[in-house]
Amino acid sequence: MATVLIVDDDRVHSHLVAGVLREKGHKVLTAFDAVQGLMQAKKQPPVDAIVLDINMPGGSGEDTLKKIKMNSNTSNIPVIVLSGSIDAKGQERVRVLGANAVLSKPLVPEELLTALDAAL
Amino acid sequence: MTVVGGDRELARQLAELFLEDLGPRVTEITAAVSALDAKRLHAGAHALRGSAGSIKADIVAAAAGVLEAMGRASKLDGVLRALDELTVAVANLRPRLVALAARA
Repeated sequence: MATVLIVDDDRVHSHLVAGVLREKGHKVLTAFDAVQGLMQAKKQPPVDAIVLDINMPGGSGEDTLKKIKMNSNTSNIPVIVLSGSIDAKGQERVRVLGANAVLSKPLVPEELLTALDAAL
Repeated sequence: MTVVGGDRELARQLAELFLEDLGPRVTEITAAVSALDAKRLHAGAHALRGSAGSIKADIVAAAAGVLEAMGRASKLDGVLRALDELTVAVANLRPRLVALAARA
């Protein structure tokens, strides 16, 4: 089972994602803004995957994704982007930045689990 | 709350968290409307729409979505009516969530 970091300022959504992942036996860490998320991502041992909201205070999710992918300690961590407000251009941008999958909110648990399985 | 797949404890926790955030979120939206601050309205309504969508509170999410769109477009014509609709939607939802959150 994997250790997954959830970076999302919406604690209701974060708790829901955590519940879905824990139900499948994954270990979950949470961060509620981009700064916390980056700090958690850089910790050792590294997490196995990151579920990242794209619209947060303290720096956009796109900036966060860029920083994750530019840091040698975190660049290999798969990132699944979850967003309630990302258009086609935004999806393309985050894919170019290195997102493994881009999913829409509200959460569809099966989509997240499938994307996570594919990313690990 | 079908999204949690029958996990009653998770549903209870989500209801509790949502209720804790609901008051401040509505207060923020109301303040933004009072100030005719489109940017603030967009941010506040976006947050409520996302959170409501997570628990499948579709009517609240839709009402927040209307306000979010007004804020995004900086077009606040009809914003008071939209706020009223959100207020009614929240008032209808709250007792159900309180009951859900109170379940042991």
